[in-house]
Amino acid sequence: MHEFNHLEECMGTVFQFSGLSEIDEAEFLESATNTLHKADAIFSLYKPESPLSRLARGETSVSQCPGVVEQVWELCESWAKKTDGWFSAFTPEHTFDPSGLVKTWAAQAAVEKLLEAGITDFTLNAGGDILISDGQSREEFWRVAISKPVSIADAEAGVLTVLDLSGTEFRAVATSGSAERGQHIWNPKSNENQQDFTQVSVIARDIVEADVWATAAFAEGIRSLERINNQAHLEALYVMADGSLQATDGVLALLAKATR
Amino acid sequence: MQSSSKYTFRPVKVKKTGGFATLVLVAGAIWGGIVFGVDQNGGWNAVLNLASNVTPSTSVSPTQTTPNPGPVTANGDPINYPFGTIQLSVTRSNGKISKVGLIQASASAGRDQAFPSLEQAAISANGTNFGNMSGATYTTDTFKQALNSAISKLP
Repeated sequence: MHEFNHLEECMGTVFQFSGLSEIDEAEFLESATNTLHKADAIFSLYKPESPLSRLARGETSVSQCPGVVEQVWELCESWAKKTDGWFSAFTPEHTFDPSGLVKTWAAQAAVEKLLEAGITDFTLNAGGDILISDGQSREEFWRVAISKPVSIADAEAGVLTVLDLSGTEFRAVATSGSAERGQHIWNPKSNENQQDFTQVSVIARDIVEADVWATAAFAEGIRSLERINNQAHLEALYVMADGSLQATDGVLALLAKATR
Repeated sequence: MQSSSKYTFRPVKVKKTGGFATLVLVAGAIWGGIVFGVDQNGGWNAVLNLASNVTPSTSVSPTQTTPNPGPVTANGDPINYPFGTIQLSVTRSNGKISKVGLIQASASAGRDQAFPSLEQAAISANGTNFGNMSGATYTTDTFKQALNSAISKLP
């Protein structure tokens, strides 16, 4: 058994795989990171020649794009329904922009490569969204800190609080906020951006679910608290504009217990 | 009126609104300038937290750092936070951060029992080590900037 720790730059952010393995993980990490880069090559709107960029410019159609584009399109539609329209892959300019989901969708696909290879004891930090494998053995990796709602490069950077997901059904935490890239989430239902809170962290059983709900909650504002509270298997912690916290019912039980 | 110090808690309110409890507490209190967070296996999150304790440096980058063949370890200053002390070590080998360790951590157990349980939980939670940190998606540049400021502390 040995440790591995791999950083991969992709999609304009950094993915970190950390875990323990009995086999040489290099080949499988490569396959996992290739999955990320492949998704980036197709879905990036920062690459002018990507299928998604061409789609946005009206130069191609979904049916002419690689098959995964339609798959992601349908996935986005089903999430739009589940979130009552608060998650939307359609920009105010009516172009298809699934970036609210693609990062974690690709992260999940990458993780499958490790699982298929029998590597089952790891976590993935996908640019601030966390996935914990079922087989995670290291106690501290079940604990996920929530960043303060400031940039990690800010002098004030640090930890807001810590969640402990060990012994729970939860395997993922995703955070949406304005700290790193400003107001990058659009409101699919009006031109107004919510001013209720600066950051929301969603705790879920899988990373796509956490990511989508965090994006939807950020778009909707604090009324999403009740919506999330009414969903099974989902919790959320909000940092309000005045610095106070609000949370769904189950969050209190997820706060880490003191180590001593 | 209580002091407005960021380490002073206001009473915690647990509201029942529309059938669900909303917990409200003052985030400023648990932000508290606490600089810690440890991934004993060298994860960058700990580096980033260490980074928050030093002046960001834009003049040093990992690639400009002269590669050092042997591992070099720097210990951060012990940091007092309202409920204890923490100290981190950072090791660099071959020009890369290879390990971040916790060399000292203490938390004063058993805060005043008069504190409400929710508040107690939030304080305690913040005094716990962890493997990963969730936050808004950072850019590669921000990530490097945060890493550089940690690296700038190495001798």
